[in-house]
Amino acid sequence: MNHYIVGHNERCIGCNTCQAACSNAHKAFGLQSHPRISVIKTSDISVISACHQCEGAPCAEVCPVQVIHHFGNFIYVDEKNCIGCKLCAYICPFGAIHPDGTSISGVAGISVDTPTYSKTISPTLDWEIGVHTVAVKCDVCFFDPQGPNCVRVCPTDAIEFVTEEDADDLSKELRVQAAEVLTQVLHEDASSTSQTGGEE
Amino acid sequence: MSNSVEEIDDTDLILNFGYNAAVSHPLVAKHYVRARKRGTKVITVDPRIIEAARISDMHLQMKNGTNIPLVNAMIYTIITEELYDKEFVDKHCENWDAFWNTVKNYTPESVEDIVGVSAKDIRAAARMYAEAPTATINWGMGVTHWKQGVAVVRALASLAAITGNLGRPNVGVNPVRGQNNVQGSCDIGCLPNVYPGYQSVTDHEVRAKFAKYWGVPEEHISDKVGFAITDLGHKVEEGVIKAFWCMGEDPIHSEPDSNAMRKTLEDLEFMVSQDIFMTETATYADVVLPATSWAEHECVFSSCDRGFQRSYAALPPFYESLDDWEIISRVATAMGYPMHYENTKEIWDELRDLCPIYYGVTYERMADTALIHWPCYSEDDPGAKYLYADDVKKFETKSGKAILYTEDYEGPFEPVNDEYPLILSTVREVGHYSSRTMTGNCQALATLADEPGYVTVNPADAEKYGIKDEELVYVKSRRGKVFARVRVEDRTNKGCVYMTYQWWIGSCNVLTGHFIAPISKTPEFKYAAVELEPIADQVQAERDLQRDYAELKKYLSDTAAPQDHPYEVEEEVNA
Repeated sequence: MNHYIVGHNERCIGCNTCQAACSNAHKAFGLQSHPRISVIKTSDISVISACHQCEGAPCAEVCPVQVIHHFGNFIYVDEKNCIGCKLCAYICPFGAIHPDGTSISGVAGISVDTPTYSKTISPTLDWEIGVHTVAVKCDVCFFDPQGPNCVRVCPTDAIEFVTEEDADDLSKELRVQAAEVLTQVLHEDASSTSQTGGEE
Repeated sequence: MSNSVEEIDDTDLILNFGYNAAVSHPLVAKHYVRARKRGTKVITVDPRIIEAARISDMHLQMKNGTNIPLVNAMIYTIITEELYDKEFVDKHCENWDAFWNTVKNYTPESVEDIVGVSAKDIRAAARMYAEAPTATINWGMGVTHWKQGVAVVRALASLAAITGNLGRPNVGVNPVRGQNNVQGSCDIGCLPNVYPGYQSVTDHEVRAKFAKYWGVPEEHISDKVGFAITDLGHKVEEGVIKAFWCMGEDPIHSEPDSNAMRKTLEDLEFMVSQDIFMTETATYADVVLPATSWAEHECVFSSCDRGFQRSYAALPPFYESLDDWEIISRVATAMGYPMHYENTKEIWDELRDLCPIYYGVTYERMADTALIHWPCYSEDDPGAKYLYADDVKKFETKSGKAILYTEDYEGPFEPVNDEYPLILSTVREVGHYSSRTMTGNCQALATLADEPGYVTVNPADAEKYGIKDEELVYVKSRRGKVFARVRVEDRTNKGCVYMTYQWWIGSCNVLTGHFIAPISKTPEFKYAAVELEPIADQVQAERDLQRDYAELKKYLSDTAAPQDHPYEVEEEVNA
């Protein structure tokens, strides 16, 4: 089974620390620095959203140059050989793939960008001189023996790294819960029926 | 804060008033999440749906700027329903009659329309607060960045006093200070009216003590209350202030009305900027003194809950930069007062000798990561986790009693009108600190958010103006016009837009006005009348934005350039 990260809405405070850690870790490893996690905020939720590492990954299916594939326990994008066609970004049901490139203009903050057609006008037409856009998505920090950096830095433990054992434990727990709820409901039904004298 | 931060975990109720912990202090927000898990009730008072609102039992989503009538109505409910602590009021409070005389006019029903919250909800919140066995009020800039900020602080403190929520564990009143070590700068006397340790400049005995210690005649120690940063503009205009020494601050972006501030800095006869990076403010300086950053020097920080903590240097100083205390010592010596310290411990011990409330906090006790809360009078004093524990002389007033106070509601300085129909409220962005002098130079943080920053707009307002998410718009006020990127979100209330003050191009303080609260001299950052102007040609707007930002960065780097040269040469020689 693939390993993946999942967010907990009730603990997330929307602080974006996960994104900063994500950006830093990947940049240090020589990958794109664009954060691979989104922090979604609506009026009643704050939670991260990232690649689910689907077993039958549609992104891998549509990749014309086959640079997206299973690699150990996750779905890997070979950023070096990606041609930036963005098909994977369109097919992903979770919107978890972010087209991004590395500007040649140097460090942000002091850099001067080369002329650009901004991403905000259209992500598909976004271009900057000399910049090659590639698919960027969560790779569960496969290169880091300590696991996903976002999980480690989250101040409220709102991100969880799910492995086979966790998933297995979780589904066992859910089965037990379901059984308990079902028993309770049936029991309540039975007792309410007996109290009302079984009119039906 | 009268509490310490960790007490948030154990209180029964948090009244979260105009304070967005998740954005301004994620580490305090962590305590909210913990408290919530333990079963703490939370009431959030904020016009916006902030993170805390999501996990609150009640969210009073009031209209912007109606703090006073809301707090008065809560106090009214507590008094008329006899939910207040009579014993505490008799023993520890005074000024009841005048207090009640104001409060009696604020029935929850009478303020419903002003506040925009139903009388039922105001009453429910008041009851919930009064009936909690322990309750703490946490507030932020949503309370203080207003014309009546001081009055709201006093009213909230009175609310705590009449319910006996002071002077016990897990109860209190907590202005959670905005910036890192802003508490420390007050503790050390960076206020116009006090010497270190909150000792009044007008007190002869205090002056005599400092004069004797420093070996100078008492007349050399000022007995006059000084100016606040918000006095700078008109005092320069009047010719009263001629020189300005600016340490680690970028007032062009952090003070209201940037264009007026630019003119003020231009009009100065002499200006020094002491900073770690080139800021727009530093470009106006006659002399720039390079200081060390927190990573290059050792120091003592005060946390927002009055806790002293030591911080240690992780890197040697870059180039010719010096620690702030060394710069000050050298300038003092050059001006004829030989000032010399071997290390920061000597300075700290001098501070202890002169300030009784810090005396017990030694460098040894703060070793490693220990944290000690002031007041701490002796070396075996554990420090005060919470204030007002003394039952005899409970408060620092002449009588030792809390002076109950509130006042009548006045509207904002600059109400909205047909020409400027939207309220601009300036808020914080979690990824960038203050005016971005430091975090703007951090690649990871710049990747998450960059110029021109967002203006958040309610979906209904966005539709009215015909603007879409992520588009560029102009935001304009009577004072100027700036770019901002639209974020359409239902967390933002209708009729109001929010901008963060990190940005140099999308600089919201170009829009805010120099409207200053009379006592605190704090600007009304939370309310300016503005208008949105959609931009038809988005492609051109994006290019203009890039051009403006590139020009500004080039200007900053060119201004800083003359000092780069010698070091490049030196490095080559060394290599």
